[in-house]
Amino acid sequence: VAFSTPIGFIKRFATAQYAYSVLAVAAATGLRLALDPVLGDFFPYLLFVAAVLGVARLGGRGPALAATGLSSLSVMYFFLQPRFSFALSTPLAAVSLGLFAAIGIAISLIVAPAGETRAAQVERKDGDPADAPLLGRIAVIAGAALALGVLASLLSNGFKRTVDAEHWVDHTYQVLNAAAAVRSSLEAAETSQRGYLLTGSDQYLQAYDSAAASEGRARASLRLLTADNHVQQGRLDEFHPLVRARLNLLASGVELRKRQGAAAAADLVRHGSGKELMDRLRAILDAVDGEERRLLNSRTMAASAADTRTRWILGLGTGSLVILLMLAGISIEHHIQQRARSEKILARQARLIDLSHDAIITADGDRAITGWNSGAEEVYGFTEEEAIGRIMHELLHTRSAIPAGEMDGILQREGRWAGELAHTRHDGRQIVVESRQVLQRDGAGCPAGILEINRDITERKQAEDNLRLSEEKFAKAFALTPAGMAISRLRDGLFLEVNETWQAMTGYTREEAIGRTSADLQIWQTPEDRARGAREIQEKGSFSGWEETLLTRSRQPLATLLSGAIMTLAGEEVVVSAWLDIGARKRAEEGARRINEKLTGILESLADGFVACDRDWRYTYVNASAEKLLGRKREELLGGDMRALFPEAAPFFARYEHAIAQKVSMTFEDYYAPLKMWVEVSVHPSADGMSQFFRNVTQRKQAEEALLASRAKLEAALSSMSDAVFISDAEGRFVHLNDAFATFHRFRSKEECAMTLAEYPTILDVFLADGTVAGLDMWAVNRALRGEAATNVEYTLRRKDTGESWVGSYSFAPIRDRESRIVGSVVVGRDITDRKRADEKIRQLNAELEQRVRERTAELESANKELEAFAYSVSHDLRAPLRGIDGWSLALMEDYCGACDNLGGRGRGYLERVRSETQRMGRLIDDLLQLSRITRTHMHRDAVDLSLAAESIAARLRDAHPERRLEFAIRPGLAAFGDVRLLEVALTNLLDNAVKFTASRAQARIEFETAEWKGKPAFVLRDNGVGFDMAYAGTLFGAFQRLHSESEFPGTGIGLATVQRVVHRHGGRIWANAEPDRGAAFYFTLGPEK
Amino acid sequence: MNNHKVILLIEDNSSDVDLTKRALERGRIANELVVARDGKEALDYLFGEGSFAGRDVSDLPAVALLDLKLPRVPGLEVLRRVRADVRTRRLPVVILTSSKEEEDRAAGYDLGANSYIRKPVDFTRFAEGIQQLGLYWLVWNEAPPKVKQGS
Repeated sequence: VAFSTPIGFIKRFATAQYAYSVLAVAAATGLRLALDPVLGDFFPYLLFVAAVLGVARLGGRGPALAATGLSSLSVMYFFLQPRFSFALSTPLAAVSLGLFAAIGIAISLIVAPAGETRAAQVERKDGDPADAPLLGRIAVIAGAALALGVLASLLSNGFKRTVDAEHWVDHTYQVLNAAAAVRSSLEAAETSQRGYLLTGSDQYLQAYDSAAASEGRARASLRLLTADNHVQQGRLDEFHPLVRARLNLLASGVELRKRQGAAAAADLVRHGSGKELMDRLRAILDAVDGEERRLLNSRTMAASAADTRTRWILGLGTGSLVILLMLAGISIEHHIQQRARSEKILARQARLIDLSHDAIITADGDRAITGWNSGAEEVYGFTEEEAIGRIMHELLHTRSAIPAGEMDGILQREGRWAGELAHTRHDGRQIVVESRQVLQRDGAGCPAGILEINRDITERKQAEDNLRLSEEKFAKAFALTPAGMAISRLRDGLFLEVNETWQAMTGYTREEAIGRTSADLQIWQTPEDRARGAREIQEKGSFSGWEETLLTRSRQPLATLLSGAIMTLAGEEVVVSAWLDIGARKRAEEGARRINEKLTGILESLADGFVACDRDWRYTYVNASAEKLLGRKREELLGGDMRALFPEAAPFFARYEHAIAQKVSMTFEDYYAPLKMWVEVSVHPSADGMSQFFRNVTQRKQAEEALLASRAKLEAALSSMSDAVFISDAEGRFVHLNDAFATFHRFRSKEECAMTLAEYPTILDVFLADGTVAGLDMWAVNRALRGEAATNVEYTLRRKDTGESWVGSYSFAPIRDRESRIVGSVVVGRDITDRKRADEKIRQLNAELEQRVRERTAELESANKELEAFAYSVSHDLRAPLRGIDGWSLALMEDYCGACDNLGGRGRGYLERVRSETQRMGRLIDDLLQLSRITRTHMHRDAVDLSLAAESIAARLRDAHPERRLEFAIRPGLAAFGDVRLLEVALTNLLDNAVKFTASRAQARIEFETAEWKGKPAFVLRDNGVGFDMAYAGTLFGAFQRLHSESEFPGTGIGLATVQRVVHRHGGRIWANAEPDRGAAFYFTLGPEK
Repeated sequence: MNNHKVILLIEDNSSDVDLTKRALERGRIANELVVARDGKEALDYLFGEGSFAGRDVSDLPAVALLDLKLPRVPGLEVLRRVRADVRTRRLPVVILTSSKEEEDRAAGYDLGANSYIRKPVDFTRFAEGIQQLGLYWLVWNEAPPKVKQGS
């Protein structure tokens, strides 16, 4: 049984291979027959050996053996003599046939080991070493077959020759015998004739006749036997007449004897030629004999040689065959062992297959079951006998998620398919199998069957379904539970899942939490708390009822009741924890406690005394202020009856009783004589007694009295004021107005005044400062009541009745209570009519003044314009004639001084004087223009770096006086605020001067810096030039003032005037300090001195 | 050298005119000197109007030497009109004046003067200036391309 499945499987594929045997043998037979005219009887086995080889290769051992048998029969019938019969003419044929059969069997056993088919070999795939040596083996066997063929052929030939040789030896013997028979017959005939002759006895005559007859027969035989030998035939031709002659002689002798008797006969014998004939006959016979004996000799030798050769061939052939058979035997043995081994492996595999709980099923192309292991029996409940031959899906009612056609398609296309199938067992139970199917292909690669391995996974599926169900339940519970739930990994604390409630509680979204730890999220207040928690769960495996204050995402404390346990989910140890927000409960508890505390705190901190008592007027609560007010300790009072404790307070108690009876709270003030104080008491009856607030209002009572006194003072003050003062309530009713109010509003007396604002529009017209009518809402009182406060707001008022008009300056403000609500207004009005008139007068005067200033300014501006036009004309028009004078003087010099000397040196000198004066005039005009421009130009004040300006001027001067040694020491960073162009003009003039007046110095040193002059800072420009006498310093800055002669130091005398003008325009001052020949220093300030 | 080109001198002061002529002669500048005695005359010349009607106005002077203080039409107005007209806007104009006023300089440049030269009283320097001016504008300076009629 154990083997049945694999062997059946192999059988199934093997039977088809026997067709190869028939086909191959038929083909070989056909081909050999076709080649027969060419090959004849020559070794007919070759093609059949090839056929057997092919079949062995393709079909395996069985078909190869079959092919060998069929081939033997075919050869025997068709190709061995006698043909077309199964008879064998020679032993040689039998031997060759036997050899062929042996070779065929050897091929079958060696080439096709263990009956495996090519398909099976293909199944074994690569890596099997069988294939390579197989070709070698085929070569060896083919060689051996060929060798055997050659051997057989040689052997056959040898046998044939031996037989021929022996035949010829026999033949020679026959000839010799025949010749001997002729001789003996002749001799017998002669002997018998003699006897007759001698005796005349018929006995001899008869012998004679028989001898003569036998001689004839013998001679005919001899003739026939030597038919192939013409020499012998020749001899016999010669012999024949001689024999006839002799026999005739003998016959004549006999006749003679018969008729003439013995004597005549004897005579004939004596005289006759009988003896001579006989001799000749004997000689011929001897020649024949001799020839034959020679032939016999050579033929015997040839036969012997052929025989020897054949024996050799036979010996060798037999030896080779023996060796071949031995080799075949070894090979067969080897293959038997191999087969045994593979069968053992197969058996083991089969055992394994049987051991497998998986159903291993093979089916043919039509899905008919061909193999069915014990696993399959177990899985499906069908026995092998029941299953084999049935159609798979019919037997098992296969159902699958995909259509059967598609599954087949995949199987055909890819060679394998795997998936889940639903099958029905023998007992009708549904099972789910995990199926793996492999397509089996035959030698030609065509689908030949299916190997299917199915595993029953019904229970697993069931378990999976159950698990899924329980997982779903768990997940649902997890998601829906009102507690926060979290699953985190035990080993690293990473959150794996959190539910909605958890997210709501902590403020973290699922995405934020998953993959992080509580440490990452900083849920625990301190890492120590978390470590403690982690330790506990590691040790105990679970925890419950932990109260922890955790932190939410927004870092709010979250009072949490934590429970959790370690579970294993998907092979991973996890902590499933439930988080209960107990913040609300905590808060409620806390709230109640706080309220209580707060209440107590409030009661204790009240400045008012507070006591509570039960229905029997016994104190149940006394606050600190009450202790103080009553002058008794709490301990003395609590539990005591207040009526007994404070007998003097009877008037109070009467009111309490009244309040209790009425069940209303009430407040009253009364004087409590024992403590010498006014007390304000507020009593609140309640279901379980009453409570009282009381305060010492003695001070307030006193204050009220004081207030009354001060109010009188205030009123006195107000009434003495010249400004109208009135106070209104929120509705515009005047609650207070002073005496001046009446005067201000042109009432005859205070009593005549209307006491509400609303009445006034009928009395007064009010105008705003711009003369427009002020509506009631714009009146001071209403503005104040809207919250506005202002001072000195002017209104013009006019009495409707008299038309009298006056101007009031109003100050007003709202009056607010403690809550800042406006409860009234204060307005102060002052009659400023007279002042207004005075103001108007002043304004008019100012306007006139301004007008006059404007006019004067315009005049000045026009004068300035004229001056500018004048200056412009001067600059342009005065210079033109000067240029003319200069030009024509030059022309005169050029044109006439060179040619004729009537003007001579002096004339030239005069002309040069004219020119130099002209040019001086030009410079004078330029300087004057500059001076005037300094005065005229608008100033643009800006920050000016004087040092920088001075440096650039110095650089220009150095360039202009390359022959001079000029040393400028300019302190950097000298800053001023002024008009840069004017300041540059001033500095240029000063520096020009300095350079000019140091001309006599080998080394001119010019310094520009700041210095203190009489305690004040000033800019100073010093030189080491010729200086001047301070006695003339007064005229220094005047225009056209010079302290040096023109010839000594040429100049217009306008430079310093210009500088002074610039300094003055900046609001500064300039002065000089010098000594003749000791240099000069010019000090200046820019801007007014402080 | 722009030999065929004229130099337009716009100057009312005859002494200055003569001195300018003299300076040019001495500087061996042989170009014809056209003198306009006032602004109107200068504009007539440039635009081929009045007594200059029919003159080929596309034949611009090599340079115009313009005094600012002129009768009838002041120098700056002449400059403004020259620059405003397509035919003459490329004319090189050198302001040649006695005025040193900043306003004049600013206005001259604003209106597109090519140069501003103050006539010095010293004729030697004046002559030098005129000669350099002639040399510059007639020799060194590449004349502006002619304005095509109708463009």
